[in-house]
Amino acid sequence: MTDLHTLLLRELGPEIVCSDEALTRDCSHDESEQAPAIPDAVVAPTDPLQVETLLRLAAEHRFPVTPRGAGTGKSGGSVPVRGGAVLTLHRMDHVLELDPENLLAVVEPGVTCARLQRDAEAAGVFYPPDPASLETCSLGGNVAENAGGPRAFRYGVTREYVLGLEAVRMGGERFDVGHRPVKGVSGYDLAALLTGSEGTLAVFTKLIFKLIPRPGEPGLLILYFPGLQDAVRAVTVLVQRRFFPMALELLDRPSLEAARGPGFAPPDDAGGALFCELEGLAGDEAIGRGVLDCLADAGCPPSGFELRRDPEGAGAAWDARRDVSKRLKARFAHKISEDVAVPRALLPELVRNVGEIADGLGLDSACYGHAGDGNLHVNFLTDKDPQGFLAAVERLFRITLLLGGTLSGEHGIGTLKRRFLPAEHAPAALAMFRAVKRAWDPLDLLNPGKIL
Amino acid sequence: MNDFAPLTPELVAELICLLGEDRVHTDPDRLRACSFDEVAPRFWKAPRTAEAVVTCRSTDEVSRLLAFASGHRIPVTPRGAGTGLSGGAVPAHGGIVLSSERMNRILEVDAGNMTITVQPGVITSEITAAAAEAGFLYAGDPCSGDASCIGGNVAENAGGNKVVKYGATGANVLALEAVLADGRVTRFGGKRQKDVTGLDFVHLLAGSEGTLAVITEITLRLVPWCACSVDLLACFPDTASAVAFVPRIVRETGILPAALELMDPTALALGRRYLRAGASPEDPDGTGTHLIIQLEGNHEELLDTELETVGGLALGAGARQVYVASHRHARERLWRLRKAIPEAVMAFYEWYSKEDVVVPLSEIPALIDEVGDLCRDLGLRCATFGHVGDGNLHVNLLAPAEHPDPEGSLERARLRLYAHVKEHGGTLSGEHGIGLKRRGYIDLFLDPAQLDLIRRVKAAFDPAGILNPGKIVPE
Repeated sequence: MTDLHTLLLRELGPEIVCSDEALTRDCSHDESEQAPAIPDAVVAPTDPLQVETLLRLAAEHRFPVTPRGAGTGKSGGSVPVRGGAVLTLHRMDHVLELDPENLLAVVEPGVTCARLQRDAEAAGVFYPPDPASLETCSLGGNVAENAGGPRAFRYGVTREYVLGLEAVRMGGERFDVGHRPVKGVSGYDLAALLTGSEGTLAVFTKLIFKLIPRPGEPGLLILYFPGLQDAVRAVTVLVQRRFFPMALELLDRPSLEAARGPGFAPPDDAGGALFCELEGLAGDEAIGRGVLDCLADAGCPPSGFELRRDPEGAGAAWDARRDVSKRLKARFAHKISEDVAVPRALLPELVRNVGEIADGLGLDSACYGHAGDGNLHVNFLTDKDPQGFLAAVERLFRITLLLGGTLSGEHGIGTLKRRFLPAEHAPAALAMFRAVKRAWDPLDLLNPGKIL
Repeated sequence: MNDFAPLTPELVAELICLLGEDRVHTDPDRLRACSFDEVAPRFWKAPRTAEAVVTCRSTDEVSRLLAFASGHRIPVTPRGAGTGLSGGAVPAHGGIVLSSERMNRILEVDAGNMTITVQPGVITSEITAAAAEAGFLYAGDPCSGDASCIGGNVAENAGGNKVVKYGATGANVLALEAVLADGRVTRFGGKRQKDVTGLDFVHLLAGSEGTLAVITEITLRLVPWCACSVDLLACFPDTASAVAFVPRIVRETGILPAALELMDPTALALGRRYLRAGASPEDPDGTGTHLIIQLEGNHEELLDTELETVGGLALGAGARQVYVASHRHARERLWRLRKAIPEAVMAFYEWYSKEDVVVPLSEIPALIDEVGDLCRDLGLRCATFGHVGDGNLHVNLLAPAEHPDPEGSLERARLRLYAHVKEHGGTLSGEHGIGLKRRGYIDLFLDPAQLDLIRRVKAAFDPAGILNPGKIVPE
């Protein structure tokens, strides 16, 4: 038992301070390649006052605190790399308000994304963000990472749904930012600043989300193309011709192979596919026809397509899509996954370069993801020695930045990408990130070792 | 903290050396003109005047200016078109007003990525026009769009008529180039739709009212035009029934309008008088409250169905009439009246207070009643109009010419209004900003912990406090 554990037991009690070894091990890692780090203590509060107490003690006794949602992150953001306490928020999991009249929900940070989606739907409204891990990931983590997902294409990322939040700063001071109405400009937009700050500025204890009217029952149109580039070109065509599907996801050949299973059998000759989720398709087949006509008219018709208008059929395909990452991991001895985003029109260029990088280094690659946003999950894979990964990632980042892109579209910087941050941001920008971090957390105790 | 240096003739000479004579203006008329926005000058107890107006033409010049100002501790107040409604562009501590008027080029329209990149001094409506020419919509749409600058829109996170569907200005900003207080130039964001690399300073700077950095280049997101759109004018017998109807549109039909605007009888009468228009055929006795409901879509038949649905719901909710304006002429007539109201208030009243409060939709009916009560108690009138679909009401408190104590009564009215807004879970400003005008009231809405964090962010960006001092937070 560590000294910190003893101190926290005394101050917070055994109900809150966890002595369970399995939970402590769980809190040592997320779902990224970041090496695990065992925390000195794990605190699982049930109300904001306990969060205040912990962060007051942390400042007094100068121990690091790493906030944690469900541990489904992909950038090492919740790994306690400097030890100290992990503050896991999974027990704060109440939906406090769901207000369809004002189109808002107030939740605690431990509520899962899927739970909010289901509750919203039951109330006749809609919460669009849908990261692949939605069944398990927590909304606190979604806000901390500014999570995306397929529907970000049409509906925007998590940030666009955060109206306000309650949070606690290092030192234990609790504050509210943002507003309940859909707009407000009283003071700086600190809710936007906190969204995506990866738990380095404050710990969220309550979140106010914007909801929107429920769209018409969607259906899924899967478009198959002879080559990956044909699929990528189709993205641009659809957008330029004002088709804004609810989601527009790209899968290359290796990703399609990984997705293959009982509920999803892509044709063998497909070099790439688009998952095109269309509002109203469930009730009106003609909506799918519109997309097909548009592509034919533009001279890039798919080589095949599948209409999945029923929720079960569409759901099975989406499950297959969401499992691609996991299944790639199972198929190859070594996998490294990146999350770059480029201006949408430059996606063909990015895809071409990924192929060249992999070929040049003798690696396999798989690309899938949010093509409509220009956000691609690029995976390098091998069963042999993974030493080529480093060069592959460096080349990928170089081309991404040359194309005016960014290192991470939705997974965050965390521990894994922070050494590349100076490649994207000028020294003046980095200096300002540091200055703001210092202004809020002068001792660098809140989620240290992340982003900067 | 604010021991600013005066801009002595020697420093002005240095500034001229640094930037050139044609960039530095000191004639008194020009100084006066750049010392106000659209808040009535009498609002300021101790009016401040710029000591010099500088018209930079490039990012590099802005950088040199800010390095100079930081070195000499001279306040710099960035200024767009001066159409602000919170005193944000008023040089509260004198010093230099940095006008963006000569940085007014559209740098690029990128149809492939659906973005437009502009300098801050470009007029908002020019961006709308350039986007339209390329086949896209720029969704930022403040009422002053024909005069306001995009730099000011971003600085204030301006709202407007399309927020219901497309979000405020900030939601449409993808990237910014900014000059920091010490003159360093940096960029945040890019043409990509998503970016979580580092802290989100794009959206921190949007709405920071020129207090954190000077924005020198802006990349905005464009969206495809909807193929068809239409305006409904729903005429209700009174404001209570109109506002009670508002949340029902989304709730009961699932249709999200592109715009949803309210005009009460006082606002309508002012607008008509200003435009020298007679009673409108929709509302012959001039007692009604009107809603403009804009619907848009890509399928004519679908839009027709939505139109019938929303129109039918309005009639069922007590609307006396529902008119459909689908042709340009008719639509322009509707919107001209809506957009004339703010001007009309200034034309016909000497004492007024333009408020910009925002509350959750369900709270609007109660707030409308309370505003009626407080105006009656204080002998004031009130014109209420604005973006009711966002819960954002421009409550314009008006003192009749014969009022014995207009100033005191307006202040009492403001305080009562703010207390009600606070009770209803609302906030002080939906889109006009805090600036100089509302900073004395911000602590009614933000707790001390949040104010402390705002001050910390400000100090991190601008340790010497030279950028637009005296705004947002009380000193």
